Amino acid sequence: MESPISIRDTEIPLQMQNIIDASTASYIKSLHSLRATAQETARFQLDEVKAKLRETEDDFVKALAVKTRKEAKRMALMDVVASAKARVEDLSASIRDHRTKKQEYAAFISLALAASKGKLNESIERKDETQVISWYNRVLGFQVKGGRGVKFTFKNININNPDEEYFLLFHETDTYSWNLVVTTDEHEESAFNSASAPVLSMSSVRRDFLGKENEHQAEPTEGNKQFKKQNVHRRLKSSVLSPGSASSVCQSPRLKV
Amino acid sequence: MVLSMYASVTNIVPNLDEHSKISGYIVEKDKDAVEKFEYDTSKMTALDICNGIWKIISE
Repeated sequence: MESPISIRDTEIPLQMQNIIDASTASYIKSLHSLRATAQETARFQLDEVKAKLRETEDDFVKALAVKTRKEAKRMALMDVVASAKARVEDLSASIRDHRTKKQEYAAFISLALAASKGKLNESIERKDETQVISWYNRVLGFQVKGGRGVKFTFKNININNPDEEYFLLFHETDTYSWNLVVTTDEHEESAFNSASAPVLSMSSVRRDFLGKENEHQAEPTEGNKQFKKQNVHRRLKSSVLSPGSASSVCQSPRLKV
Repeated sequence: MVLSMYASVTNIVPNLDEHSKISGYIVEKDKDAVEKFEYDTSKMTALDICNGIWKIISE
């Protein structure tokens, strides 16, 4: 009969081998299962991370676009501000120039006005009255004489004969006459020519004179007279338009006034 | 009195200091303004000067 120890020795390794085999198989099985799980998990996580990255990239691109737009806007604003500043400086300079010129002009006007007024007073005070009246007579061909009324005489009206005189009489009785005095023997022809040819200058002179009528109403005469402007106009018009009338007026005894 | 009549009718105050030229001032009382005029007798006839001054007066 075999010893029990020998049987145990043979049995024990067999059992151990079985155990080892079982363990190994179980381990290998577990290992396979674990690898599969790990791979699955890794794949899933990788997909998640990729999606995350894509999202992040999109956000980054958007943020970059926003930044770029803001930068562009900032640049544009800076340009506008710079332009506005330049404009303000230009306007300030312009205002300074205008203010300077205004002051210069004001000073100049003050000086000119003061000088003119000074000259006026000087001119009036210094010169003899006769000398001044002579100036009016010579330069303007204009003469004023007082008497029974006022007589205004004008020359330099007929370009063909500047020495011809035209006069206007204002009598103390408010009547008047517009008359022609000739210095040549051919007075009728001269009357005709002067009545028609220099009509414009005659009208101009009379208009000038009549426009000043109010000026001398205040002048002291033999009693204050109210000149009748309407009558003066009517009378003058008929005198201008009718050479015959002028010719007949030449025969008037009033020439002896 | 006569001198003031001349000045009043014409609104002109002559400048008698210059003999080679005819010059003076036209006074516009309502505007409180003074305008100077000057004519060179060597360049214009007496008739033209006379008409020029009257034209200024009437403006």
